[in-house]
Amino acid sequence: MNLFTLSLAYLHARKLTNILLVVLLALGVATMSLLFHCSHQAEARLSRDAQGIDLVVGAKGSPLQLVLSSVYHMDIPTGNIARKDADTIIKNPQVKQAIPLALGDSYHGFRIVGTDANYAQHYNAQLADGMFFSAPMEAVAGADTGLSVGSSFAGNHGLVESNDVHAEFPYKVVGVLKPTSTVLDRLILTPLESVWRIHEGHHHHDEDEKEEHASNEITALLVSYKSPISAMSMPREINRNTNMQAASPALEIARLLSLLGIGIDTLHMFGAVLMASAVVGMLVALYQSMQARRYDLAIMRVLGGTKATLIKQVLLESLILLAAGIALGLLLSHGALGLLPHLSAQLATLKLNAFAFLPEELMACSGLLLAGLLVSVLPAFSIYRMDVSRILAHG
Amino acid sequence: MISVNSLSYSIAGNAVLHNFNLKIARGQHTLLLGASGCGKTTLLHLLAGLLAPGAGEIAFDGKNIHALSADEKDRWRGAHIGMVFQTMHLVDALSIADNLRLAAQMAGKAQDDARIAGLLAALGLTDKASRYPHQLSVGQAQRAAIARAVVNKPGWILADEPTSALDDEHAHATIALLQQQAEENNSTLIIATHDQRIKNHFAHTVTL
Repeated sequence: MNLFTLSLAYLHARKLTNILLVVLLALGVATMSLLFHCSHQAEARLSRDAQGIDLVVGAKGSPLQLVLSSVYHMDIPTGNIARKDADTIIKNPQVKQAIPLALGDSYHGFRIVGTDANYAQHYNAQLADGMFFSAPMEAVAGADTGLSVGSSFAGNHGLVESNDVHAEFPYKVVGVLKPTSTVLDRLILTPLESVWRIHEGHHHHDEDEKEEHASNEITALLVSYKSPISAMSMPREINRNTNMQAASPALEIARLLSLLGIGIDTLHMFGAVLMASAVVGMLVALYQSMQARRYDLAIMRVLGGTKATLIKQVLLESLILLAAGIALGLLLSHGALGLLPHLSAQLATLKLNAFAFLPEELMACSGLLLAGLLVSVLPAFSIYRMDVSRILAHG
Repeated sequence: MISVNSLSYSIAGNAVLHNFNLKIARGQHTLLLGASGCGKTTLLHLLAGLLAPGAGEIAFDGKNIHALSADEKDRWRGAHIGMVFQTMHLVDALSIADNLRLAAQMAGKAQDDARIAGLLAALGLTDKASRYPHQLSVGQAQRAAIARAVVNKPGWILADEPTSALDDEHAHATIALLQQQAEENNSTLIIATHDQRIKNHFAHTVTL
């Protein structure tokens, strides 16, 4: 028998109330932890994918759509731009590198990207197997596509799965990339010529429908400046003087995050309210427990327990409850982080790590622990005002 | 030796004890007899250091316990006093054996499981060691409360109306048990009661 086992005995005596409190605490902690991890990984992913890309140049339309479709491969492109127009950007002395992208087809939801070798190099991608493409209709597959060297496949026309398959233009996989934890893992890279060849030869059933791709068009350019000072003038020049659009990934993503941020903040607040409810519940339960145990506490004083010993014991109970709630909450959230990627392909792309702990997550848990102990001090200190003689006399 | 000199205590201006004097020798068994409300419980609580006297002095073997700080008084009580109450006040969340261990824990003494087992055996409670207070009869619970009071071998055992809720048979058995435990541990026994049934057990009676 020590203070810890005594605390456990008291917690066990009110197990239903205490289990509910632990569950409430755990739900709050798990919600906060999951939100921290998902938003942290999403932001990290967004910044990794856009790293080194100062400007995206594409067809006029929504700048956010252009960035999402060309950098993150999440939206449909705004359209195509003429190669000759793109060449003026490529040859611009302010441009250090301009990577061309030609989009339009996909395979089992993975986008087929016509590009050059610089695109893979930009993400420091390395081959896990095979070699890089050197001829049209050769493909290098990202790590998550499930394709292997030597296999062949035909692309779907469009960026979603459909029955419109370019069966007459099969790709041959000549290389598979190592995982990069970037958008590259979900892409299939091929020379620009592959995309042009398919779309020059592609005939729609609807005669009026115009083909999006032709050998004189690309979808977008991913531009890196020679000097950051170009950010002052180049986007404005392109937007004002050409029929193309220039969008900064950093600005567009900041705008997107500020819009999404309202939702994320609301969810964070929801988690905080859950945790605060649990702490208030703990305070109420502790007050009730102190009332129910006043004879026990008086007896402990008679048996020689000092006020400090009794306060320590009551605080220890709170500490055990809080620790159990936090541990269960972290177990739930990190268990979910391990499970979610198996349940959702979208979440799998976030590369959530069940074994990683974030500083803000640990800070939230420490804050909860501190707040819980602080509110426990109030009922615990009623021991100081306890009139042992009167309690025993009225027993 | 317990020495009570010129002790006074009032509750809300009403004198419960006034200029009260008492001497009890080491090892003596004393009955404090008096009607309800005469101040027996107050006197026991003053002796245990749970109340502070309005005036006067209480000394155990020459030591004035009310000169001690609150924490020192708690520790002194844990080390030297064993108390038994009319309502047993066993801790419901703990088994009977753990109630006895609690006494050692609170007094800051080593928990002697052999002593606990021996005591429970002597009081016929061996098979109740892992039971909880609500699973015991009134008589068993009173014996368990006595076991808890004596487990630390206190120098003084103070019992407040230990037989009031018991029938004749259990009342006499309880007093016999308290006296036996006091003798075995060479403890001074002071029982405060209005229960006239037990006065024949005591050679030294003080009427309040």
